[in-house]
Amino acid sequence: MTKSTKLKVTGTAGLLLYFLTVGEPEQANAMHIMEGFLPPAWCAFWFAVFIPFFIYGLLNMRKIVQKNPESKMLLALSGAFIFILSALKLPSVTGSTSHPTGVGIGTLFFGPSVISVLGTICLLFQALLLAHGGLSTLGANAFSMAVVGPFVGYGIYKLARKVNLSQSVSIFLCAALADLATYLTTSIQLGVVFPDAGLGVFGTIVKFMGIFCLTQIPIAIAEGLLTVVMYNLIAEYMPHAQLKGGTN
Amino acid sequence: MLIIDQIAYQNRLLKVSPCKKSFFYLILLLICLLSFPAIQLGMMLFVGSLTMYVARLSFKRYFKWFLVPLPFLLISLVTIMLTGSKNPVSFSHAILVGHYYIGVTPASLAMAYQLCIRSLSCLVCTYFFIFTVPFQQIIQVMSKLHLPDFFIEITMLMYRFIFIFLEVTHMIYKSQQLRFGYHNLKTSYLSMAQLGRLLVIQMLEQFQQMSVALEIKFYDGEFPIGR
Repeated sequence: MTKSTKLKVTGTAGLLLYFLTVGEPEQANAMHIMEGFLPPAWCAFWFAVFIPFFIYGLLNMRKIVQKNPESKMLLALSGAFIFILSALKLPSVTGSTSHPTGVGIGTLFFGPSVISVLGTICLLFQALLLAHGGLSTLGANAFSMAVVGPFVGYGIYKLARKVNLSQSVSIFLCAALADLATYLTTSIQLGVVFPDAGLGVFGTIVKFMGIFCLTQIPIAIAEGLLTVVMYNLIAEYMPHAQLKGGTN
Repeated sequence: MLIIDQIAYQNRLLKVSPCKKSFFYLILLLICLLSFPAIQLGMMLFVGSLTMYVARLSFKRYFKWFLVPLPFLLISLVTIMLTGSKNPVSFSHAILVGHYYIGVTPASLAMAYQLCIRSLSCLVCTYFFIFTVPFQQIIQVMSKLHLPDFFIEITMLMYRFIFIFLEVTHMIYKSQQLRFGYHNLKTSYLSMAQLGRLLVIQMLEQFQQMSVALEIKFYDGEFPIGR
C-alpha cells in the first residue's frame, strides 16, 4: 500500500466509525420498532406473547395496591421517574448520546414483574406523547423492553450475587445485559419477519444483531455505569430500603 | 417537552367523542397495514392533509415530526437492503469482501421500499390520533375498554407526576450544566447519578406530602376516574 491509499483507507474507516458512533442524530433514542414496521399478524403474535406477562405483573401489582392503597402513588411516582430517566440524554462512552432506559434501576428496586407493567405504561407514553415507537408495535416493543429486559436483568443479578461477585459488578451486569438482551430480542423480532433470501432466518437475525450491537454495546456500558453510580447514591440515602433485588 | 399535548388540546376535533376518533384511527391504521403501496401513498396524502388542517399545523412543523423515527428507519432499511451470499448472480449491485459478496438484490430493494411506505403511512395515521386525542380523552378510552381501575389510576397519576418531575429535572439539569457538570464523561455520570438521587428524594417527599394531604381529605383508596 502506498501512503496515500493508506490515508484513504484510514480516512474512510474513521468516517464510518464516526457516523456509527458520534455522528448519530441527537435523537439516538432507545431503538423502538417504529409504527407499521411489522406486518399485522406479527403485531398480533407479539401482543399475544406479551399479554400473559403483563397480566402476571398486574396481578402482582393488585396485591401490592390492595395491601396498601397508598402504594398506588409510590408506584406512579416510580413510573414517572423511569419515564424521566428515559427522556434524559446520557453521554455514552463513545461520545454519542443515548437515553438510559431506567429498566435496570427499576428492576433492582421493585423486581421484574412490577417493572413490566410500569415499563409498558412508559412505552405507551413514549408512543403517545413523544412519538417514539408505535401503537401497532407496542406488543413487540413491550415484550423486548418491559419483559425480556427486566427478567434477564433480574436473573443476571441473582446469578452474579450467587457466584459472589461484588454488589457493584452485579448491578453493572444487570443493567448492561438487560439493555443488550432488549436489543437481541429486537433483532430476533426483525430478523424473523424480514428473512433474507441469501442468509436464511438465522443469518438475518445475526445481520441485525451485528448492526445493532455496533451502536448498542457502548450504550449498554453507559447504562451499566450510570446504574451503578445512581444505585449507590440512592442506597446511601435510603439505607433501609426494601430491595427486591435482595442485595444483602 | 410535551408539545404533542399542546397541539392535541388545540385541535379542531376536540369536542368529538374520543371513542369515535379512536375507532376511526384503528380503521385507518388497518387499511394502511393491510393494503399495498399505491393505496398507502394515497392514505398518506389524505390523512396527512387532514391532520395538518385539524391540528392547525403548518407543513414544516408537521414534517419535523417525521424526523423522530428516522434513525431507526434508516438503520433498519439499510440492514434489510444489504444481503450477503457466495455467488454474485442475484445481485443488482455488489462488492466483494473476502469470499463473500455483499450488496443489494432486486427483491431486498422491493422489500425495503414497501416497508418504508407502509411504515410511514401507519405513522401518519398514528400522528392523526395523537394530535387529535389529548391525554385526558385517552384515559376515557382506556376506561371504556374496561382495563382494571387501579391500572388506569396509576397511568393517570404517572402523567401528573411527569410534569412535576419535568420541572424539577429541568432546573437541576440546567444548574448542573452551568457548573460544568456535563463537562466531560466522568462528571457527566456523576451529575446524572446525582440528578437521579435528587429525583428519588423529591419522589419520597412528594409521596409523604401527598399521603398527608389525602389523609386529610378522607382518602379511601380510590381516585375517581370520572366515568
